Amino acid sequence: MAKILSALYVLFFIFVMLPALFAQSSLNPDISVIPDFRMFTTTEKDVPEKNRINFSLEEIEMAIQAPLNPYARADVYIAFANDESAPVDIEEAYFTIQKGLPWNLNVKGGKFLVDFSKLNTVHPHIYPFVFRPLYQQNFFGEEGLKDVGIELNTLLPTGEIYTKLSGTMSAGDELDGDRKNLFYSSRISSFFQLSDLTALETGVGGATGVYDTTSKRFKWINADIKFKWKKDQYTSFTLWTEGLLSQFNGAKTYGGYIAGNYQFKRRFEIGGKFDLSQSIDSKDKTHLISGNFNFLPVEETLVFRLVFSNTKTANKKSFNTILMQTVFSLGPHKAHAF
Amino acid sequence: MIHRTINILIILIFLVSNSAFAQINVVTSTTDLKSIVDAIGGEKVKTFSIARGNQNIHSVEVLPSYIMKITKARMYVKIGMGLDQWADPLIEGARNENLFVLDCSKNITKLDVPTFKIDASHGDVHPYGNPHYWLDPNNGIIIANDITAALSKLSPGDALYFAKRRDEFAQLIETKMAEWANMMGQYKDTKIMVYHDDWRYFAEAFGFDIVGFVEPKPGLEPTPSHLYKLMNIIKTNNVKLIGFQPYFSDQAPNSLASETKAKAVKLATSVGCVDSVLSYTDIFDYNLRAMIAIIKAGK
Ligand SMILES: [Zn+2]
Repeated sequence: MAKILSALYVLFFIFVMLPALFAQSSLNPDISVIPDFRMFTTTEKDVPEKNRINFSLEEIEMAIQAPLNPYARADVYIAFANDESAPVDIEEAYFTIQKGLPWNLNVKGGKFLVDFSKLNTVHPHIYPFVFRPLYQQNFFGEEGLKDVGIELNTLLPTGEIYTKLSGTMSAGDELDGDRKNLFYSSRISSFFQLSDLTALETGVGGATGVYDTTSKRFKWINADIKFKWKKDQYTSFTLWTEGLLSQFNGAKTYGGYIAGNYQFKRRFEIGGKFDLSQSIDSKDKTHLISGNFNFLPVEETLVFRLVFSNTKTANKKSFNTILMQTVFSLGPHKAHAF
Repeated sequence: MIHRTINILIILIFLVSNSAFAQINVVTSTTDLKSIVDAIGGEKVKTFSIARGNQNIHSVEVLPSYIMKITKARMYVKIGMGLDQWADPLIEGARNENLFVLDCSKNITKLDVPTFKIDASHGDVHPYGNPHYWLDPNNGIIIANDITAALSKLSPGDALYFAKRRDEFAQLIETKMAEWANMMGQYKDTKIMVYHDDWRYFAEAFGFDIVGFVEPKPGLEPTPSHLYKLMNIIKTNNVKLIGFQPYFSDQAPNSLASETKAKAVKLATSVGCVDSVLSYTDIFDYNLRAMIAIIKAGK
């Protein structure tokens, strides 16, 4: 059934949406297509990928974006994934009302990445590293925390300092097995321009929802810090770190990561990341340490990332993975926010 | 007595706060636009430029602190033609319904507008034509005219003040143009090489002949084979000058210079690009002096 449905999606997309989009000339939305191609090998036991060279077209992301009118815009991201159970996935599809509301409010509605953690709102192809942090996989899900609902956000009057407060109410379907309890989340974040060359963003999020079919609510607190020093277009350093505390069914668990990325030439970066995570209902710890080397020959049109990682699971299983990721991006390249 | 002092104080506070309130808050994409807004707006405007002069304006980061500047602004002045497209998310993020956005390219005669279907194989080509138009002083006057009109609309009571300052600015450019033309004299049509295609309008205005770019294609890093090609171009054309902005690596210009008779020289494309360039007209004063000195020495 799921297969038929996604096949219908694809057909609908090819025969209805695309021609409709291209038929109008000047009002075309921006369309980008971003495939993520991988080549890897791993020493992990009991998986078919062990000790051989694997190729994978991990995902093809398609982004369709445009203003709807002078007050609102829409963003749709569709993922064609290397996943038999869900080959086509609506990653995000939401409108944002940006103007005309009181108190500087923006309203977002539809399916979107929940503004609970800084990294969670960023699309993976612009991470400086390859793998989504373990804790976000364990707690939020492999694709991050995204949900169908509404978000309200506003800029607080904190003078020269940019402070954003957002609140989300959503279906909670991805986490709640019974699909009947809402998920609530909020985040406050501030951006500090420390000097011409250095900047810091820091945020705190809180969330609650129901996990699995337990009908029990979990409580989460997440903190994030992003620091960047950008000397010029040839040299920069970025530090990301985030951590989460979870309370669920009497269990207090946690997870987090710290990652650094050093750009030492216009086109080259090296980085490292350390991950540590339990999960919502288990105190078993997994560690992951990884190093990566990035080559960006021409801005973001083609990005190569070579990553070596070592994972240690709770039962002392340890395995290594070497992976070469190539992300290529067709379509308009817009400037990304900090 | 006390009464009078208080009265005077109140009047003073009123005057101070009133004049502060009357200032039009303007944010510009670049220091050059800021310099022109300052020239026209004088004390009636408060200005801030997002890009620093010593920064490559093709790739300015979208920082929330810039958004905060725009939340309080009455007008945003942009270069347009896709050069400062990073201004769009900033303006969008500011949620400022009161903001008037002025695109200064609207009345400019655009050069190098692609006549073919451009795609990324041509490098980071500017799709709407070469956007570095402020480097022709005549375009400075066109920008000033647009800014004058916009400011006058926002503050009609000051229209005469702006008009007077616009005339002074245009007069200054015209006087300087005669001076610069004089300086160029015998050096017209001199062949030069530059890093990026920022210099199209500049060359047109002053009569330089650009025979090559250090970048193999817009936005790309120089490659050894391209540098080898440039070396031959320098030799066959007797090029004496390789101009580059300080925010580019000096490696390629210097290595070209060391292999040929040409000299690498730091040029300014914006106010603040080098320390001594403090105003819009300084850009031309500084560049022409630096360039002519080298061409002279090479004779
Ligand atoms: Zn350019």
